Amino acid sequence: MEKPFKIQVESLSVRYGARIALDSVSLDIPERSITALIGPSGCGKSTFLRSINRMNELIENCRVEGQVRLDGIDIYHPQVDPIEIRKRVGMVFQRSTCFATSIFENVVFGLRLRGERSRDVLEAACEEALRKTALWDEVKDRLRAPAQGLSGGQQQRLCIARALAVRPEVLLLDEPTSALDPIATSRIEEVIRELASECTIVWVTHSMQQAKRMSDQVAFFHMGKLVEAGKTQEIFESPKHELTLNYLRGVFG
Amino acid sequence: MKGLRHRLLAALVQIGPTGILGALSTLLLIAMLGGIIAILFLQGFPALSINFIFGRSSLEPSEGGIFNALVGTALLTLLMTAAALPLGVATGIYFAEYAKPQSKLTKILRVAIESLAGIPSVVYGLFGLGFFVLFVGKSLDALLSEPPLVVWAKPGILWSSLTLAVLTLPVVIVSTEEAIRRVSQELRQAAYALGATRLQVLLWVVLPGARAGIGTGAVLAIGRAAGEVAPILFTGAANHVAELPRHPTDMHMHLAYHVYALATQSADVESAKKLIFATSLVLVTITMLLTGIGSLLRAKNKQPENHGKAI
Repeated sequence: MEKPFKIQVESLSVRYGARIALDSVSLDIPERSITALIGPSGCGKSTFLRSINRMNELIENCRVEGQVRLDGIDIYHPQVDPIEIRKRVGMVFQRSTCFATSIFENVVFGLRLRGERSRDVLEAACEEALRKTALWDEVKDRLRAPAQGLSGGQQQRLCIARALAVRPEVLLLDEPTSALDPIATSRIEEVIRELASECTIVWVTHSMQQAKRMSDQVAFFHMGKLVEAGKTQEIFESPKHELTLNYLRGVFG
Repeated sequence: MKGLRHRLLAALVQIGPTGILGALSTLLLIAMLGGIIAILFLQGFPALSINFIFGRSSLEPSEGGIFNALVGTALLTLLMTAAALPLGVATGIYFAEYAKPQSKLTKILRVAIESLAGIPSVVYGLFGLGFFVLFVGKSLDALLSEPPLVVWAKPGILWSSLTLAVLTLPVVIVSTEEAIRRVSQELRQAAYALGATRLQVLLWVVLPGARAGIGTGAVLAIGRAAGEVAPILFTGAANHVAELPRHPTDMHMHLAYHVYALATQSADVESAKKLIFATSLVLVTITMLLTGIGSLLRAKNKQPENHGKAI
């Protein structure tokens, strides 16, 4: 049975001043699946990712045209509050961005933003999020310790836990493993694979191997355009477009 | 002997003329600092005593202690901090977070702040006299009493601390702005991505991350202001005030001003001399303590940060 579409992007164009970062891109993303965005640097995949939670708006001179529908509702409609969108669409960045507070405070940051004060609720949410990211057993005895004391891989999983604690419907990943060693990377991949059963995941990655082994579908971007998208197996085994073939073979990128 | 001289010469050639000049000027600076402290200590320390520090001021500067001046300095510095810190930090936040860098207003404000930092401190004193004492004070008197009595329109600790606050403001503003700019964009983005509003990002991420930097700047600015005389000369300080200040309009004594009083107003030059050094020693100790705390904070701040750390 085909999953319904969680995110529908229709002729999305993004401009930074005069530079066109994304040129009329349309892509449908099924619910509770992993979609990998691949392509050479500067191809627009990160811009695409940041259009899904309206993070592009934080950049000056950024203009967005077209539609991004979340559960059928255009998130760029004037009456939609970007803050509400970001509460539903979580994001993890390339480099870990732990706040200079304790592990516990990092995880519950999003809940506190929403005004949650109950100690029990916060502690339960913290444990749940840390268990989902396989961090619980490693940090349960030092939840009050500074988050900066964790290793790079742990910090990145903490950032995922922080995003998960508010139960997002969509999780955007902007190369979350590119700064990590293979062991830390494989732990994060396990965590993400588990998450795909409850959350729609859109994943920007530079690693073809990662895209191949992790994703359900792949979208290949080049020069601000979506070249092709489809089931991961199909794209990797029989790409329709020559650019895709060249990129997968490592001719450029 | 010859070998030693040879090696010394070789070392000098190796570091080159710039290196030699640099080493000499460093030595000179250290010697000057050491000289100042040594003279203060040698001349002033023997005159230090419980009676000197906790003794009340006397009409003849060379008799009596410095307690009034000590309390005056402390109160002045506290009041000044209470005025300068909130305003300076708020302005710094405005510049770092809200002002459009390209706008004319921002540019004009920036030039104004930079010029403010370059004005000689005695001019601040005149400004304080003209603005706070004569303008604000007179207006208050006209408003509060009928017929007007002179209550606010005379030098007092409120006016001197406000004048000193104006002098400190540029430093607090600039250091706040810099500390805020040092908080990484990525951390802010992470907070936005969790659904934080702009104000929440500022209060929950940016300010906690910049806290240490702001504190450092504030302590350094306060340390410098604590030793200034010129701004308080016409606005609140006096040679001798028998009572400790109890009201914002009371005049007060000040350590640095007391040094000046000892040097110029004393009948007994010989006994005043020791006290000048002793008072200076106390003043320098206080300002150096403040500066030392500031420098320590700054050094702690600048420790190499691993990525993802807010401060």
